[in-house]
Amino acid sequence: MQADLKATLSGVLENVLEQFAFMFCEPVEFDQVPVPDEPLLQASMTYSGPSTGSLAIAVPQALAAEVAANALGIDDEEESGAASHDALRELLNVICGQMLTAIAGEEPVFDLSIPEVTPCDGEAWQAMAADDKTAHFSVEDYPFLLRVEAPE
Amino acid sequence: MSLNILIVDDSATVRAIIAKALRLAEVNIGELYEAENGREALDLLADKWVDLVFADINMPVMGGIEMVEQMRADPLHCKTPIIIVTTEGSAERVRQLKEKGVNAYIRKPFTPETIRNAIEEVIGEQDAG
Repeated sequence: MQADLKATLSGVLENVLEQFAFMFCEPVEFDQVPVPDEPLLQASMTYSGPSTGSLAIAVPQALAAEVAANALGIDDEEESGAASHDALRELLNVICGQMLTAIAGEEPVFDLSIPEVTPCDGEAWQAMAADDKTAHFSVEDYPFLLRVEAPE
Repeated sequence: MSLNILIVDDSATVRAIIAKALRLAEVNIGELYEAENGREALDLLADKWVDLVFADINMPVMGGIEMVEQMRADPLHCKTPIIIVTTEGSAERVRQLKEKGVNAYIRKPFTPETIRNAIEEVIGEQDAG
């Protein structure tokens, strides 16, 4: 991934996570992101308009649960699996909207698809982590993958 | 004056966040209703009196824009204040929404203060809390 795009994504993710879930992130290198030995989730969506592309994120399910709990202001134990999926879907939706403004400015109109959340196995995680369109982050010590397929 | 408020979003998380923000902003809430999409919202509006609607744009079944168009075509709801809460940040989109009759626009993520300011903008400071 190009350094300027990664810097833009890092700024967007930092801002969204802080406001949405009171969480903090930092960019890390590919070799700092091992395959987590725990259940994983992936969310993906597309956008269209002046340009088309797609975004996907992959995270440990435990991080999705923390995002949901923080966003809703509840204890982790109260959080249901459905809330984790819903919060991850919404997190990607907000990241996409903020990224498009950061990249394309405030004039173009984009149509966003409704994000979908699916389980992610270790093989899919590794493939996404190794993709050169993926940026790697650490969020509250959890690994966080963000892949952007956009026109160069 | 307390406000009957309808929150329309396919995400239960966002509906809960808006409800929490309303409480933190000390908005005087009468009844708080929720709907998962525009169709559910219109069905609810047929039965309940609502003073203010918060709605997303991008929802399954019926999105926020079609819901706004149908509300504005209905004499009962043609003047009900509608605040769009969405992730999309295009200035052109905001212009399009205002032409369709949307009263205010909030971008996600937002703060309770943003919610309160939007309510004051569309309803007036005295009625907000």
